[in-house]
Amino acid sequence: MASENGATLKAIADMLADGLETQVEPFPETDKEFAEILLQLRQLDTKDLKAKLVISGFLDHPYGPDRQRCLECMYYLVHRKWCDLPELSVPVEPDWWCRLWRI
Amino acid sequence: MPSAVQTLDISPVGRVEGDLDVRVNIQDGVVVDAWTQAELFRGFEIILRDKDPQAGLVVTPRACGICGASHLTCAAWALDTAWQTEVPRNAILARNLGQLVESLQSLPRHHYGLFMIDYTHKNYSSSKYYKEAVRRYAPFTGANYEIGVTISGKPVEIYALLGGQWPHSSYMVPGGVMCAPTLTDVTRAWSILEYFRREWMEKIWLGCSLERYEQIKSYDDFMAWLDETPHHANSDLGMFWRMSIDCGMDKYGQGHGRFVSWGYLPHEDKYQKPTIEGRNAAVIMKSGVYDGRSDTFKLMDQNFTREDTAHAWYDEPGGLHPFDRKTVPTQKNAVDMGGKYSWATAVCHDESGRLEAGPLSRQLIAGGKHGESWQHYDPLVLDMYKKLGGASVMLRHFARMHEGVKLYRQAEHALREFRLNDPWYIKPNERDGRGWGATEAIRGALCHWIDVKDGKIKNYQIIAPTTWNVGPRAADGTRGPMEQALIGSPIKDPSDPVEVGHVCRSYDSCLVCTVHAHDAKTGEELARFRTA
Ligand code: SF4
Repeated sequence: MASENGATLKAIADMLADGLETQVEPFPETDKEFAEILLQLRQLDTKDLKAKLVISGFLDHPYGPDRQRCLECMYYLVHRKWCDLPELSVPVEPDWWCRLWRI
Repeated sequence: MPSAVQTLDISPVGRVEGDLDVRVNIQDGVVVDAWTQAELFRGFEIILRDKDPQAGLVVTPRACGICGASHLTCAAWALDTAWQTEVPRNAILARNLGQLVESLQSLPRHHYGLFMIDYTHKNYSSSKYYKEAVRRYAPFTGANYEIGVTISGKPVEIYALLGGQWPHSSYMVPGGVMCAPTLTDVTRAWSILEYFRREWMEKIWLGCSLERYEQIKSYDDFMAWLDETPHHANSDLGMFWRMSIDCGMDKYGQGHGRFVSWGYLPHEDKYQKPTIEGRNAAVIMKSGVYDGRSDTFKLMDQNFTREDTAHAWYDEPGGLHPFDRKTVPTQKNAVDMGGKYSWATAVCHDESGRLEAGPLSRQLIAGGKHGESWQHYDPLVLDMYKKLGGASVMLRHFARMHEGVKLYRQAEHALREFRLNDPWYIKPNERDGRGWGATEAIRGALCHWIDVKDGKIKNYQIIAPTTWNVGPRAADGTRGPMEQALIGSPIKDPSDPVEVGHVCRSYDSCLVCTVHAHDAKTGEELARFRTA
């Protein structure tokens, strides 16, 4: 399982490094907008990594003036380097970010 | 010459919730006698006296940090029956869902955080599974320990969607619930549930789909499933089973062999006008008493409940029904193992005597043909019970984990059946009267009795699963279920009796425990330790 996660992590890192354009904006300021993004994610095949990254606005570096990143996000599981948001549930690096970021 | 008897006091037995002291007598490396002692006076019955009838909704969920939804369920249904309310279909489903997700939460939390840690004990270092057990289950660092403990927080996020928080929400009220989930809440709940299934139930716990697991109907089916593929054998369930057999967990922890369940999950179309008498015919998971010696089933009725106080610190007559109790605590509660030694009463069935509560009871009763034809039926654990020669530490824990898939399906059912534009609450009329609310917390039969007089609580009584299981001896000397289950436990090292911990944790009592070890002949204390 660890190797499976490692492979997925690398696949995501490669896509982002190759310049995959993701929907970084608009940031969901309210619950309603947040729920709308989740709804789009729910409609995907859970294995469709690329679409997940695009819809959730993935970046492989911190974002914004506050330098938001996975490490401080409430969904991030430190030891497993894992995004615990059910609609994403993917391995992530602590320095990454997506627009579903929450404290 | 008979060998010396050693006495072992376990206080508190850790990794169960609360405060429980266990004393065991050991002879030739085997437990020959046991006493379980609830050390803390809870007193909710006294706190609630003369309060507003709805006080139980706020106060009783605090009786437990981990099964507040079950207390809230009981408190709400008790008032519903006393006030003769009408509870809309949506509200029944929302109450069931709250309780179901709380129980789902409890499965990985108990399995990884409390139970499997013991499998990494040095006692088992010669087992061929030991190294792998340490890799998976070592506290904090085990690979699956971390996954299990973190995933356990997910189901109760669904509870928070309904009740605003978990634990200690009071969203269930007489006449319904104080929430009206939106479509977004419902779809969010689906995502959380499916995540729990995908990331833990199927991937880690079973190593197969829920559908494949649901095909298992007998012990032989289970063993065939175990051998079917390495995914099954190496799943956490497969690992639990194989290592349990290897380490002899199937050989002790038997108990009285008589079991009780109140039944749970009122059917959304059958309990909208709740009454005490009508409940048995309205719950999806049927109630019952199973006697393993005679292999007979009957329905459980609250009328049969009695509380024996011969060995409990209460100054009131024994053998009373909870409606007739006054809860008069003994002021000077000196421990006297021959006399009074516990704050738990010895709960009995008026005809069937001492009964064990918990998931094993529920799963055995699920195998009975009594009850309504539409009620849940599952013969697996009953078949295992018969083929494996009765209850054991292993079977008790297996029964608990086996229930997970069924709880999951019932949670799906609740989400599917919500009709978002229909009512969630019908305002009741307050009135005096007697009520009773029951359910099955994950660790067993729970119920509340309420007597409302002049608009206030005249009497409120709670019997928790742990009261059934850790009660002291009854007036006739019959041991409590856990006391009985400890008899015959092999103790490899009296200075570190992990086996006593296995038995206690297989009940997942609502009490934290300590072990004390004594040489019974000399009275010398051999060991005292907390097992957490
Ligand atoms: S939600 Fe986004 S920011 Fe938060 S952990 Fe997941 S990927 Fe990272």
